[in-house]
Amino acid sequence: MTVKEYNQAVELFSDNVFRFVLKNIRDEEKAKDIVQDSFERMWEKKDNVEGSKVKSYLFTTAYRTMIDKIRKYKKQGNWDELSESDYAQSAWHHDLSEVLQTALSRLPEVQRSVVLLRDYEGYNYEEIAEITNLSLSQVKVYIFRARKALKEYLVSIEHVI
Amino acid sequence: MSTINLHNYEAYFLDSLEGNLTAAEELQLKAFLEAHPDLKAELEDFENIQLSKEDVQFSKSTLIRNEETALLQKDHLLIAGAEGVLSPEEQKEFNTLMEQEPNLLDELALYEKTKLPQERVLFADKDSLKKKQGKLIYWQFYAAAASVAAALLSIVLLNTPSVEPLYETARVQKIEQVAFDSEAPNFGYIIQAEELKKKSRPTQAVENSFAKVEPITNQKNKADLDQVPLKKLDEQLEFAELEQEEIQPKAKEAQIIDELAEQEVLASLPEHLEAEEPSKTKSQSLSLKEYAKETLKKEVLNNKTLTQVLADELASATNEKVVFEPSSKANKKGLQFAMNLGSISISKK
Repeated sequence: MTVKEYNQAVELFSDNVFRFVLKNIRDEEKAKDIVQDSFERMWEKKDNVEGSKVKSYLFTTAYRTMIDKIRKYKKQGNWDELSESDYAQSAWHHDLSEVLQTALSRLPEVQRSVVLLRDYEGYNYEEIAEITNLSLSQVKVYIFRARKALKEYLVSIEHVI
Repeated sequence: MSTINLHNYEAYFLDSLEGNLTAAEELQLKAFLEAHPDLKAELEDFENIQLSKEDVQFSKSTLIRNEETALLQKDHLLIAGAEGVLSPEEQKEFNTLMEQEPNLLDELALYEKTKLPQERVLFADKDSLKKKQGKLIYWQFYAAAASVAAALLSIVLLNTPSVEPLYETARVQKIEQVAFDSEAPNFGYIIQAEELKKKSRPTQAVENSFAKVEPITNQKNKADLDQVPLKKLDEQLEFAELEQEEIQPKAKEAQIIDELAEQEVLASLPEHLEAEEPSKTKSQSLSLKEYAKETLKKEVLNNKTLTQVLADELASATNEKVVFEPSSKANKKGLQFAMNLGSISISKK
């Protein structure tokens, strides 16, 4: 990977990687740190990254970096889990998109990640499996369960509203 | 069993219906009903209370879970339908399910809604991620540009047209041939003009380490001047004045020197040549001539050398110290020139 290809990757994919991480952890500063780390790691491995695999490599790196950071932050006590009251408050949205975001935030991390990769980035199950280091069957199960949870949340909000 | 009476006859009735009475008990029940005929109707009601067999089948598909996702098969099919990942077999099953339970369309629509709408999120600090490939190139570019600029500056300063034209033989000869060519330097000719005008001074060659000026006689000079095309002279003057507005400050002193030299030459021209100048440019050239004449009258004819006049004029125009000095060496034919422009000093001997 040349410097030019690397900078093109920044232009093309940094927004997407940032969105992926931000939607997962909902902390802008931490998301920025993770994006920075991801690109830096890719640069360190630039000689081994093919041009066609750049996006996949970035998301893989970002996902793993994010998981590592979450674990680290949780150990340090610097990770603020959203409480049920947060959910309850944020549930009072009338916009479907906002409701979905709230529902998304309630999903387990791995389910949230696979749904984000699926819906935002349009990855198929095989690609998601590669990025998340899960089996194809696991990816399918997580996505299906996530869909069911999201649907149930939508139904429950409809009843509340 | 005890004897049948009004307190326990229901038990006898039930046992009778279920076939659990002995023959003796059946006889007792019969005698009891004859004694109490109103209870016969109650026994008949007991006989009517009997559930008929009914063929009831439970839909097992609603409880079956998908082996892969462990979700109920119905949910699995709906989600797979929304995801667009139904296998051919699942597609058939899905179609059948939707035909059987049309209300599942609403649930399918809900699953469709769980797809996250595209949302644009910008990472504002892209520059911090980029690698500066061009840094060295920029530095090299600026270094090259600075070198070129320095070289150009040196060329401009070292070619300040108050020095070399004075001593350049080729250019002086050119003046002799085409007296007012726009490219021709003037100092050599100024010297000639000075010699002509004062007449008292002996004609001499101007020699130095750079070039040599041929001796000029009055006759030769006059003959040369007679051949000067007047039109060309006017063009020269016009061109000089127009150019003056556009020249850069660093070249301004050279322009001034040229103009003064031209005026010196004009002052030495025969009057009949001046009279033939077109009126169109006369006013401009007259003003310059008059300026030159007045200056020369005041200064040159007042025991001041022409070079000194030029140096003073140049100094007043540039606010810098400009000095032309005759060489103090033995032959005294050379000239020494020193010019201070700010922090830059130029000298030629």
